[in-house]
Amino acid sequence: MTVKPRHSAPPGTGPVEAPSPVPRLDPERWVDDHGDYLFHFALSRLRDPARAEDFVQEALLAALKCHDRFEGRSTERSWLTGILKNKLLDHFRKAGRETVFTDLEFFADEEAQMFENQAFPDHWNVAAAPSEWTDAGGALDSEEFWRVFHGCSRKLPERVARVFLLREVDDLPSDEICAVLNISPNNLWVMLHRARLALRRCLEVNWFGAQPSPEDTV
Amino acid sequence: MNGLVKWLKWRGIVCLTALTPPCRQIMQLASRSYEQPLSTVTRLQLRVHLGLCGACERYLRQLELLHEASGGLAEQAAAMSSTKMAADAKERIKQRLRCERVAPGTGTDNHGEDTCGDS
Repeated sequence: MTVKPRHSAPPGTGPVEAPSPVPRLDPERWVDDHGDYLFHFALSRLRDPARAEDFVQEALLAALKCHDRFEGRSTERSWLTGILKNKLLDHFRKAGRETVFTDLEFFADEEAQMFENQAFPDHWNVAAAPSEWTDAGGALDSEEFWRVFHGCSRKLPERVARVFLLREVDDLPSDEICAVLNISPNNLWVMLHRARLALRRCLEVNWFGAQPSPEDTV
Repeated sequence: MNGLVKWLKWRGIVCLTALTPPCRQIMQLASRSYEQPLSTVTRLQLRVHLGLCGACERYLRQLELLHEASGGLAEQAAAMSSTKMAADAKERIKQRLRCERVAPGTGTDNHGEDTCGDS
């Protein structure tokens, strides 16, 4: 399928607002405006800068081919991000054919310790029970909170982080994630649960100021 | 004295929650409730347990905050991140896009610049 390139307007003319009915075509501006964002998006899912760059390039080339189907219903950035996301899903679909045992073991020991209770098995260990977070709501307005949260998410093992990002950040339905990564719903639940336990613990220590155990700090 | 009260309170709570699945299982169920609807019985067990167990109730509130925050993670983290795509990578991608517009699908442009290739 070939698409006749439309000539872009000279720079500085016309509104720069993204959701316009017929966006002018200037793919090189995509790189300037959204390159870092898309790169960051790919990098947090691949953890390899060279591959992240390749995927951004592939996504932008694909966007160029099908730009006439962009109807301005979403912003340009979310349109491009959507294309990148699909490219990454295709990649995961091809690559994610085996569940690694260590992914299912992640945070398993820590979980066992959290619920180590002599008198009442599987109830909270008093020392590990969640403490009250002060001003939890206000945290979301703080830049530092987001830095800590991002740092915590980067500490998850790659495949566990991938599952968590697909589910919680990209809001992909669980059955779709199972299909893409070829994992059973049960394995998905285990990984998500442990990721949540680990992130909660990491935030508690690094943001809400609980006493860390030695391996906890970001 | 305070210690004793605390201990009794803790013990009492644990006794009451013993009527429902243990905290560890409740936490797994709470996490799973984000993935699929729970059965009525399970939902009831969860509610009774959370009404009695402060630790689990706190955990669940924090899980909800985590869930809320996660939606914004991509935007926020990217906005603040110092991670930038390397300038030469950007240039390379621009070059590829230019080539693709001039001669779609070929990977080379009409001016014969060898930078238009895949390498």
